[in-house]
Amino acid sequence: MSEKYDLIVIGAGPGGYVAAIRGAQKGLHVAVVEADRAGGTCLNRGCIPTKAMIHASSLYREMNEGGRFGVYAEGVSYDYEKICEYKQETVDALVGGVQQLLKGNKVTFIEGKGTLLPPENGMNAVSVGDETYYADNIILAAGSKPASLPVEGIDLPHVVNSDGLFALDHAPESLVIIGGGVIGVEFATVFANLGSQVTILEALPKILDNFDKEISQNLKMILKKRGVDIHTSAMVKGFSETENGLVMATYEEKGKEAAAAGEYVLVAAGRRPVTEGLFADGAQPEMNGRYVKVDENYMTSIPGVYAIGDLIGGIQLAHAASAHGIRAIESICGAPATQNVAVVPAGVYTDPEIAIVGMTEAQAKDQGIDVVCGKFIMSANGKSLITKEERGFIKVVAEAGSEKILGAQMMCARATDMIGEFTTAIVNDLTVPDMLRSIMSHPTYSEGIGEALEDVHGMSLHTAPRPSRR
Amino acid sequence: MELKNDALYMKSHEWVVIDGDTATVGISDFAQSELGDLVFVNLPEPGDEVTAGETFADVESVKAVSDIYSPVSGVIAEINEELLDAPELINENANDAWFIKVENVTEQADDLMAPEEYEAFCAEEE
Repeated sequence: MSEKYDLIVIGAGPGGYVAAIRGAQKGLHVAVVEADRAGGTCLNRGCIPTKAMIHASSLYREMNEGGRFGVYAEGVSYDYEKICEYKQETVDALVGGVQQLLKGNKVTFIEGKGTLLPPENGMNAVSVGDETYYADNIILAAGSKPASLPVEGIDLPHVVNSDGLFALDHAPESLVIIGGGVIGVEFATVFANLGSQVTILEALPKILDNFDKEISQNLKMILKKRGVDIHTSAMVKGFSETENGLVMATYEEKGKEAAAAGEYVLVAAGRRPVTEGLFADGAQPEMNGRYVKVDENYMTSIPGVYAIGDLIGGIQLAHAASAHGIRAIESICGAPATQNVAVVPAGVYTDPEIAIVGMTEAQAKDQGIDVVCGKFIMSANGKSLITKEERGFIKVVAEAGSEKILGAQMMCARATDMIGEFTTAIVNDLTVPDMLRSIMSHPTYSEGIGEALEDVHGMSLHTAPRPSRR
Repeated sequence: MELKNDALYMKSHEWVVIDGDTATVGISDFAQSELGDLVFVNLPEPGDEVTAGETFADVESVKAVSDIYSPVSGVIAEINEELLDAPELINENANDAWFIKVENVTEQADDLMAPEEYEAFCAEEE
């Protein structure tokens, strides 16, 4: 019999590697099984490489717009292969760091695809190739992969998903993006920055449809101004190749057939959990549709077998997966929960950035919660004027009466870095007056947070009173 | 100021063209020029109810946010989505840049003025 572990984690993405390290820190004997490199989608094919592409492409656009600040650069150009090299170096550094951390914490790295076996003699088991490994606890953290679309032409060579798009050796002259969700609008940002002609086709009525209405509308306005062609309520019918080597996406918008052509089509229509080959016969826990069903401690229907991250559905974000992993370890070790996993901030790296946490005003109303709201428009924020930001705003939602913070929606420079203040407020039941006790440093983008909070009481200092004309 | 001859105006500077039980609503050329360059418009959704004399939308200039009032009561049949992507259309031609189309109009605001009367009203405001 091979070595027995306290914990085997299947998948070394941001859910799995964090669970493995935290388990080792807690004194568990841990192995992690991974078919690819450590880091998962987030480090290798998701969060990190896209943000590197956004950084490089934004720099290119900003250099071209330097004249607004009296700074001129002649002949600004980019080398796409160099951008990809920089992206890869960043990814490699982070992946190397995770591998070092696993090693440093004495986590055994087992290369291969892990399959959960039915329990044997009261022990949980995982097979990797011909080997079987045993453990008291197993955490399934196999992640997700891009979803496909059941339409004609999906297999054409120039119809790619996000993995395929990263593999290109040049920026496409024109790109049709299917899906105006987070992935779609971030890639639109990258390639619009680099000068590609970008079209977004979104099946729902708005881009970023699950976000606050004003965020969707503000982003659509800004992307259109940058030349991105956006069609909403547009149902894609299929793809075909044109005579001049482009791909044509046909779609139906408001009952009419229409078409958009591009050198490449990016299908960014959500992600599906990776469950193929994850369960041997008789080892599949109870499912919730295509997702693995878990309890509040992320345990599946099989005792000692946990599932976290994209496998369980809900919020598909790296930091949510990490939080699930930490909670699962705490449960295994009988420790109390340290994090509030119900409050998950989310960021979108458009320009300006978008960040949200907790409830929107509309969601609160749908749940019958009486709320008070405050909003500050960043055009009156000194720092935003200095850096000539696009229109942005900060909105705060609080419970009426108690003024307990319930949510915040931000669309402004550094929103993704600033949302944490609201996350801290929500999980600690802070109120509007609690948050207002802090002085905001000047000049900063974060002054907008203070102003939005003041606006709950109609007391924002830098908002002109609405003229009462009736 | 460019007057819209087929419209009635409110003291809060909205125009309305009423046709039977439907109405089209926008803001006056005077209003857009007072507001300055508009950078954002918040519109309601089709199917929402509007009430004569009550606010239904707001517009944002670099200076301030201003409420827009409804000249009629009824149900929104259509919103002008073009304005959402290009608020500057209101500055370019306020008389064409309608905000909402209202159906099942049941009531009108009590301060609606004919174009010439509105012109005199604006002259006094200036």
